[in-house]
Amino acid sequence: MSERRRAVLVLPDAPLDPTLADARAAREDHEIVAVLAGDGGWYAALAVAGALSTEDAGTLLDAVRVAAASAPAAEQVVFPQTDAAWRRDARLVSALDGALALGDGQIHRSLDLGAYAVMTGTPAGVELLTSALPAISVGEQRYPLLLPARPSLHTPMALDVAPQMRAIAERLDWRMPDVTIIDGRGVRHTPWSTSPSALRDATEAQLVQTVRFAAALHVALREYAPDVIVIAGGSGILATVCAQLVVGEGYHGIRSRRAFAEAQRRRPLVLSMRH
Amino acid sequence: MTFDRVSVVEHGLDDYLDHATPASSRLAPDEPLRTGTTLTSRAAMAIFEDQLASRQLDVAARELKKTDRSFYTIGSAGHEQNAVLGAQLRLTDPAFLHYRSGGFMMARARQLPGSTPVFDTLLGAVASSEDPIAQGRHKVWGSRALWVPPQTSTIASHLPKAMGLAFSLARARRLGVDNDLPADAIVMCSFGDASANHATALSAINTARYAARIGLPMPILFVCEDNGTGISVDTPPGWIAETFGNQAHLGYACADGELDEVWNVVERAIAIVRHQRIPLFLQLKAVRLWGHAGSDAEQTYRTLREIARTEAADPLLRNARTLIERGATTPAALRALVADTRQRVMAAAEEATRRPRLTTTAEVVAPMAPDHPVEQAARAARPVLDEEARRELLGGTLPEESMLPTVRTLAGCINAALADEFARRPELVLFGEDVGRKGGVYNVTHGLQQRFGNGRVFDTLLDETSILGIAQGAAATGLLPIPEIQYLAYLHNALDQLRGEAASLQFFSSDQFRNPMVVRVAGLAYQKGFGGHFHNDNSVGALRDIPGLVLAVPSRGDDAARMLRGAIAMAEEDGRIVVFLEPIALYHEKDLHADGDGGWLSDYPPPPSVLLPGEVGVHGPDASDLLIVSYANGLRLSLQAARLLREKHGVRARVVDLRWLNPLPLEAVRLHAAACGRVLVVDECRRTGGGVADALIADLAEHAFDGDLRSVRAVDSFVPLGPATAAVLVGVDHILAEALSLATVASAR
Repeated sequence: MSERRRAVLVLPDAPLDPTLADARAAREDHEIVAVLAGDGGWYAALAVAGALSTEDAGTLLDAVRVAAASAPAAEQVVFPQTDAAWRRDARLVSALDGALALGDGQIHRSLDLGAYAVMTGTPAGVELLTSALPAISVGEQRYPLLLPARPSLHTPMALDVAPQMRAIAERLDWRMPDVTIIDGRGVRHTPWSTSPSALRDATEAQLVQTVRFAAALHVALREYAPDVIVIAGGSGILATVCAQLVVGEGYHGIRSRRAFAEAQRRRPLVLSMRH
Repeated sequence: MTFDRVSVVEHGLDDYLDHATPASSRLAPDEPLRTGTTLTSRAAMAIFEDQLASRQLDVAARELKKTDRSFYTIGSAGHEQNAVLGAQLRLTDPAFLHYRSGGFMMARARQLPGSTPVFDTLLGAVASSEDPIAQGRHKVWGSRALWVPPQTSTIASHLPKAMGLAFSLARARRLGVDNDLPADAIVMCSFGDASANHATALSAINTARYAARIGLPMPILFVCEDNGTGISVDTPPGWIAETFGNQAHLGYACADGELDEVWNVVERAIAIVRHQRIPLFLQLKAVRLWGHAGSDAEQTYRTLREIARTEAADPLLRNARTLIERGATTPAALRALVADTRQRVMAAAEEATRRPRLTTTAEVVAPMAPDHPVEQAARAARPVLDEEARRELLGGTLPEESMLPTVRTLAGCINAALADEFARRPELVLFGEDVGRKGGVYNVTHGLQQRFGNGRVFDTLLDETSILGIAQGAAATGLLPIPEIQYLAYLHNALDQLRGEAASLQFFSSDQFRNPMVVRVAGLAYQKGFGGHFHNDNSVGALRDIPGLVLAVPSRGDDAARMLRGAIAMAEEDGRIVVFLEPIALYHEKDLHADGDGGWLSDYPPPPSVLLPGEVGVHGPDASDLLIVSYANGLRLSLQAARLLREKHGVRARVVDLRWLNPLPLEAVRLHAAACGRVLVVDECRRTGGGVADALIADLAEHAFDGDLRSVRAVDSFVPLGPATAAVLVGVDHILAEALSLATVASAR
């Protein structure tokens, strides 16, 4: 029998049932020390951590989908913060900061993935942002990358739909998590000191605030020092994002894309459950 | 019998949890732990988590030390109730912490999403360059984001600056200086019971009371973490309460007992300080587990029975019992928490050891004394006041227009330069003994309080330690302090406030915290036989020995005005600590060679004319028979000697004024030395007192200067009273004799 490695479990934005099945399998194979989520995976994370029943998590996820549909229409822009070798590029960081400052309140950071930032805004806001950002290529991909017709979640644009979400969330049975869950601000909610109502508040806040996945993984790596990062499901993008954050952190002494590839070959540090 | 007390204490908690029985009913997370407290079950559990994390950090540091992978084992074990303060104080309440503040830091960091206090602490213990505060330069409790300036706090030397910040909060606000502290912020400062006896502690507490007595806001919470012992020496039982429990103008509270009792006392204490803006002394009972540090063999001075008795009072054990008995948690849940915490802290500790360390000299010293002369010069050049505004602020007549001798002396020029700087820099404050209403014992600050108000120019009590503490605190609020130390001999009383505290802040905080200041000190000898040692101290060695400290010593009025602007610019631009040493005997001197010649008066150079380190004064640039290098009184004596050399002996001496004694203008001296071929250093400080002569001569020797080198210096003596001063100080005759000897030997060669 192989040793149980201490793992951080990452829940992707994916259909609930197969994700939860993956998570259950992950808990059998690993000692899960903390759970976190990329973007919409938060509701699965709540279920995995036992803060909500599977059914309640499904109810909440449905409510979010309804809310997303009724929130103002938005567009998204993806812009990198690292170069092709995954090194943080100060010019890209300051270019984005500068461009966002010109956004006139119509474009917001909605998701911070470390190597990439995702901005959500009105078409006018997106136009302001994209015209202010430099056109660059990382590998074969050209940026800024425009994603039309996206939900306006994780921005103040979703403030109007927050009350309907709250009404639904308040009807659910929130419980103490049985494993530490790290939210999109990097706050740890532990099985010992969490107030279920605080977890509900954090869930609501996440609807209208930037989800900082990079901060959450940063906290997980530093405060829990896992042996492995397990991604429930087969999200290639999250696996890459995690790998980039490992390199950015210098975790396990891994400080370059090449070093990561070598370490990964010896014994995977970032593990996707389905490929 | 075992001396592995870490295991004993760990086992004590495990053993309790293994045998404890759950309470008959559970508290809901948001229910109070007990009737009458605002501490909820959930908040109590969060505090316990933080306390446990702190404890495991101590364990991890000791584990890593066994394999020489950590370098600091002074721990927080037994002091973890300070987490209650960490939970209740706000992130905008600056905290100056005792070295046993692990619990406090864990709890405070909890208030900031995304923070990683466990790993950050470990990075400090392993001296990693990734430690976010000190980058491996020391294990300190500190964080810019958490408003915790780093302290080593070993000798309570952090209390004066904490008091100084509390003193300055309202003043900075009133003067419109920007900072990130709200109007109701309070300052917290913690220290041990043994440290409470330090002169610095008593000084700060006294000044806090004094301020409260005269009606000034002083919102500071002094927290004495009383474990009853200082390394191996017991504090007499009751000493802290007896000493601090009944002082006028100082609130007092004692926090002891169950977690919720401690919480309640802390809550009240914070509320009093916050709302009444008065100082309060909080005695927080603690125990010290596992000796003073990892290297301290406690069993050599305590019996095992005594050690075991202390361990039985472990606050974690006590809190675990309270939490279980009150129904906030269960034994099984706490067992899981303990296991989780131990595992994750040890795993994080292993990860921390993989992180890089500082390796090069350049990396180590990088933040200590930033120096950007171009930016400093630009800073000195602005803002520019238009003439009308300047005229109005300076009272009608511009100093450069005045032909009054009193305006053209060293004292007059410093006074005018201060007025000019106060007029164009609203962040400046000036304070010290007698500087306000009296205008300084030598009249150097005359009229400044009347012109700029007592918010900016004010008298302090007679305590140099507190003056420098106020300077550090004022700087933390965004003010630029110009404290005055009345005499150089008085500075030594408080020197550690510069050496151990102010000058080390950028070093230990990787330049994330700064306390820029220009410390004006009246000093050096030659007061016409007046005053004796305490008014004529001629020792600058202690100042030159402080890493990164800038030491300016003007000799003439025009230089002084320009150097003062340079000093302020260095402080503002690069956060530097500048000591501006003003030669008392030259303050009101008018003449150089003969009575009435006015040779020591100068025209006031209006802003933005500026001098920075490295720029020397050159007298007789065309002379090259001999170079005389000097400063301050020695410069004036050298110029007198140079005239005699020229007129009576035909020797033409070039005289260089160093102006800056730290850093020394070595390159300029080398150039002039090479041009003249013979060098005489005239150092009015003591022969072996760490003056500048040794450094100048050593530098020339090391740079292959092949001419002759001599020096004249003061005798190794305190400065006596009356005419006897001439017996120990450098005089014109000494300079002349040595110069002639040097010129003769050299020309004979």
